[in-house]
Amino acid sequence: MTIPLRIERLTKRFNGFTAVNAVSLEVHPGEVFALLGPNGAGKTTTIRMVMGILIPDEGEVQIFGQPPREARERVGYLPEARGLYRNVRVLELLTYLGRLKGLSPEEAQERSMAWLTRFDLSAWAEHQIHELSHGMQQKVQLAAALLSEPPLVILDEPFQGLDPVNIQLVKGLIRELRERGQAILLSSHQLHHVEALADRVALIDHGRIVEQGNLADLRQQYAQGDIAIRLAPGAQLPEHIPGVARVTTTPEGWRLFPQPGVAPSEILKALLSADVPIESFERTLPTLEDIFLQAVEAAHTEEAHHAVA
Amino acid sequence: MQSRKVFAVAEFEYRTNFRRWGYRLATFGLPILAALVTLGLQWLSHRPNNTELITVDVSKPIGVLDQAHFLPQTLPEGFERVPSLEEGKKAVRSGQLLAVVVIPAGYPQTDAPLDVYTDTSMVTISPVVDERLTFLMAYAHTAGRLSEEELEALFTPPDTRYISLSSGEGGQAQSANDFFSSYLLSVLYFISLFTVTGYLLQSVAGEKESRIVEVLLSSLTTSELLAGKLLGLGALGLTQIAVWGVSAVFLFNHLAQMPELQLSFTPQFLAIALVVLLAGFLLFGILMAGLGSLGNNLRESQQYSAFFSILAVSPFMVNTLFFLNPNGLVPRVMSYFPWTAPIALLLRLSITPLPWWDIALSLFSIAVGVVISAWAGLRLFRVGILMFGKRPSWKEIWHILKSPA
Repeated sequence: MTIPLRIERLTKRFNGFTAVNAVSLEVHPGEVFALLGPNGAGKTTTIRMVMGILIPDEGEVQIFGQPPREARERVGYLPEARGLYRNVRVLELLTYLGRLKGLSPEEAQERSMAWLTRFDLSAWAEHQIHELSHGMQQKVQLAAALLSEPPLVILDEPFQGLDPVNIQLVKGLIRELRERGQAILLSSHQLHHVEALADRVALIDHGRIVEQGNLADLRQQYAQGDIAIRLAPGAQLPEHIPGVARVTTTPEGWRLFPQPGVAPSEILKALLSADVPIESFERTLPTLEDIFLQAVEAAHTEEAHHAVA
Repeated sequence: MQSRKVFAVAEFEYRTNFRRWGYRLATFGLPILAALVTLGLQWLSHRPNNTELITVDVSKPIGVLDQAHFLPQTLPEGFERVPSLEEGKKAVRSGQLLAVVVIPAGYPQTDAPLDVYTDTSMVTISPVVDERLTFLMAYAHTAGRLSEEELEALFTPPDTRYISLSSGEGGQAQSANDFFSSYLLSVLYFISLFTVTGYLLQSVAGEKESRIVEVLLSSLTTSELLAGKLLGLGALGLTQIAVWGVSAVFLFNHLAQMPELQLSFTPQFLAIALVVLLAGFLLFGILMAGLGSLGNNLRESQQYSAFFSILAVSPFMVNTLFFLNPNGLVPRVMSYFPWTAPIALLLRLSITPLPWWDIALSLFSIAVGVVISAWAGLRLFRVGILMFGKRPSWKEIWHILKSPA
């Protein structure tokens, strides 16, 4: 089966500045792939090259085995920089954008109406865009990206500027697209929104991918082995716990850092034998932010080594 | 290039711009206003004693105070003696006389001029008064030798027919009607060209400013987008010209009841005008789109395009030179330079017939200009449309033009 999106060693320079540096990734059907990184990391430039809006200096993009410009109709795109025609009616605009994606006028209008109904905007179909609230306009933009039921959906910063209700709506929609087998590439600098959504992630910093992989695997890989523990109200931890190198307090309880080679089960056993009233005991996994920070630091260290060598 | 996408863009541009209040007002409102004004003036002029609300009645007699006793006893038709200057002035003020002329003592030996007292603008009546006074003096000089009718015949110009050597054997020179028709069409073409290219500039700048351009470019190429815009807005311009043209013919030939001023176009002029109109739209349209894409908003985009707008309008700025000699150096140079040629050619054609090679040379220069505009405009458009936040300098624009496509 042809891979929806394959990027190989994609590079883009602007006046000597390398905005994207040898980025490679693949997005598969029924998968949410998140391109994560701070503002200015190169996410939008990468996406613009994927969309064929910018021409890469090096590397290649293939969408279902075709160059981007030939596969435009198979991609739904929500750009980071969003805007709409202010003095055009909502239904008319969606129908127009649907036609540009290859739909017939009738089909485009029918689907536009269906999306407006789904987003509870059908009453606004004949209103002009400028009469809509910011949130409503965001929904119209999302509808425009999904109108043609594209097998590959690219969402650049989809949560930007949304209120919590609409963030949940977008998250639900992304899950639904994944269940339908559509491939989704999303970019965000708000890592916490992506944690519960992404199957795989690529962490990008200064135009370079510093880490990439399955999110669950990355969590295990970057886990430091520390344990979050909460005790019954009023209870205290013993001063010395066998196998624990360090203890820190957290708002909820304590964090235990095991000595090298000591398994969490051994520590649990020791606490239970000391009659410590444990309410919860769990191995903490790093957040995406933790992983990102560690990966960036590792990349910088490696770079420094290379420079010295 | 996918034609169905180009047509989708064209249809959208046509529809959304056609709905503009300004476009509808200009396209349909102006002819309606002109018709209403014409009908209003006709109504006023057909009411008794209302003629002078609109025009000066130059057929009224001229009063004469002959201090030199130069004139014969009987004056020709259209002249009356006045007993004194004061009486004459009174008659002028009451509307009985057009003017009072004082022939000074000693005329014609004296160098003193003839004073003309009038209540009306000299600009309006002086040609008529001068012509009638010339007749009066000739009448006085030939009194007793030539009858008034013989003198009238002498002063009536013969029927003439001007043959233009430039337009080839037997080609008739422009009549006043030909000139008026063609000149009017040139003016309408000019207004429409800049209305529509202005919309193109606004459309490009607006899409860039609102950032919707990125959504559009995820569905079509820059060439498809530009071609659609040119097609849609070109059709919009043609609609405007067609409405104005048909309205003008109806207004002048049917409504205005002015047999001396009828619109008529030769098929040759119409054919050339259509070619110039379409080519001119491409010439400026692509360039406006390219330059318009460089700004971050409409104001910045207009700054880039101002130079070419001024260039296009320059033949109108120096139209006196065209009227003095349409085949003079400046009109010729302007009609061979691509970005002044569309208006310059139509202006020259409205004043005088041109030889075929002259027209061909001008059309060729416009064609060369279209190719250059398309090359430069498309390059600028491709780069400029995605250049956000930064306004390129002229040096950077030159680099864009030089860099490989």
